[in-house]
Amino acid sequence: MLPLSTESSAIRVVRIVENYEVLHFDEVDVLYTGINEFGTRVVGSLVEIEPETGDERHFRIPINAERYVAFRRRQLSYRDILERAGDVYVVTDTSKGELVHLIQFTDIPIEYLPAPNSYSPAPSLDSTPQFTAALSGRLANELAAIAKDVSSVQNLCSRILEVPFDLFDSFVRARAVLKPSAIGSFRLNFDIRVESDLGLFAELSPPETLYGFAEEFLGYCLGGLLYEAETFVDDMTGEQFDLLCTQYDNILLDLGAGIPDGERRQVLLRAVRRASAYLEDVSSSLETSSFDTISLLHHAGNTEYSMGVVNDSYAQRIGEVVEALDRASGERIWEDPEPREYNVIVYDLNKETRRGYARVRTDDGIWWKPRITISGDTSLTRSEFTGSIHSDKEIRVWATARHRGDRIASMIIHEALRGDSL
Amino acid sequence: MTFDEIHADIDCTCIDDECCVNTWDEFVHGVCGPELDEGLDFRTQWERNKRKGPHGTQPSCYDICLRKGVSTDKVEENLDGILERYRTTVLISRRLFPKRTHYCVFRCKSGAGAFRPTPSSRGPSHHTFYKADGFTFDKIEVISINPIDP
Repeated sequence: MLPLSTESSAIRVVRIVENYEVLHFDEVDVLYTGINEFGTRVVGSLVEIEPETGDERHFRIPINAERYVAFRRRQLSYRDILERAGDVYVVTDTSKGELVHLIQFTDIPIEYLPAPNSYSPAPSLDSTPQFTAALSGRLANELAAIAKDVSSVQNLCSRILEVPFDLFDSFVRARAVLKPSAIGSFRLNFDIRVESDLGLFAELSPPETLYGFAEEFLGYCLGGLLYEAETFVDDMTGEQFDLLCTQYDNILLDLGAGIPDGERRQVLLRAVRRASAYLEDVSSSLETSSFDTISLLHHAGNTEYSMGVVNDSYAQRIGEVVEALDRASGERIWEDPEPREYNVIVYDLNKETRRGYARVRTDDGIWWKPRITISGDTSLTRSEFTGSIHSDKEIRVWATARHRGDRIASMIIHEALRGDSL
Repeated sequence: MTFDEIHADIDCTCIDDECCVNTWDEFVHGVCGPELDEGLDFRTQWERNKRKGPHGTQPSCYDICLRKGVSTDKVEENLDGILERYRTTVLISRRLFPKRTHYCVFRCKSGAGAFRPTPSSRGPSHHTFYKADGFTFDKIEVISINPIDP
């Protein structure tokens, strides 16, 4: 039993009110951190759960930034920081509320003490800068792919991988560089090269933290976002988005660069939108590609972890999600009220499904690359559209476009205007 | 296969499209000895009275549904990492799971229940296993039970 005699009224000192982050999870949140209402970091652990009542007992201590960094960098163990604190808060969470007692470290019975080597678990420190896009399906199953398909995907993947690092562009510059492929698989391997002029950055938040964050960020864009996007439209909240926001903010705090909550959410949301728009482009391109599935992987330790899969079912949902995000950020989404003339160069087309991509020139001379669908049922073989692909020729079409802000997102082409190639 | 017992005392829907039956992959779960014990093993946090959200808050449906399932990990993704996680827990908080001494590698039989992938960077292979109504140990194929610390 813990000798709990000195009751304290200092719950506010050790109650985490924001930036809650789990450092070690094992069925329950075992070791965690966060910020109290005074802006001080708190570290805590779940010590035991009463089997009869479900009452939980936690150790918690406020900790200064310097000691916290040493703890996260595994220079101090959890036991070390409790010992150096001298007094440890014991929070008993009962059905009637929280009780706080103060106990001296030296009075803690040995069976309650963390081990001398209770270092902060840091799988994120095993995080590597290596990311992979593994292609499969169709021709890729024979370890082959059309060069232009691969080229397009590797360009988009490198942009996608850079998005989470751009969130820290005041501190680092990150570039996704292509690495040699391994024989026997069709994988596009990337390394993230992070550079910083700030020594402080490496001291407070090593690049591994960013690689781990990038995995969470991209995993969210590939998974949780699909289930939460609608909530953004209403109030820009979502459990998994909130968690991501906390992780983002914790890194910023470590860097001494905390930004107000509302602004932080907007910045993160914009990044999610940007990555999702790229992912939408990748997923749409799969329809006419020589592969139909891309698994996005991150390497940590000796293991690779799947961040998510881009395939047909992802493609079906991400378009709506990007639209919801655009709406949430005030982007105007509209469709031509009636068909009108556009100049296009078709550059990709599946003649079976009649869907593909075109470069579209607007009246002000800007080129967009929307998805296109060609309506009707006449054969597309040797049509104006295939002619446009083969000769890189601009043709005039009668079409209805869907716009997102200034962009043309997609277009239904009703017919090519005969004899009007430009 | 029904999940009425899980939903009997909550207003959340824990079984949805993300949950799936899996009778082919091997999963691991920490257990209290070399033989499975009906009273101790494959128990959910909810069954152990752990029902609150973080810091005594009202738990969200996400929290509730996590607690309504058995904590498992898919083996193929890194057994060493999973065992390391168990050992790390003992280093930090040795009284939290004082009876958990072994790990059971198992595969589900038909009708056992459904898995929801609940990964995080701290536990990328984590899955929440929802026991179907009438679950017993007969519904799982025990592949091995070994000590966490050999």
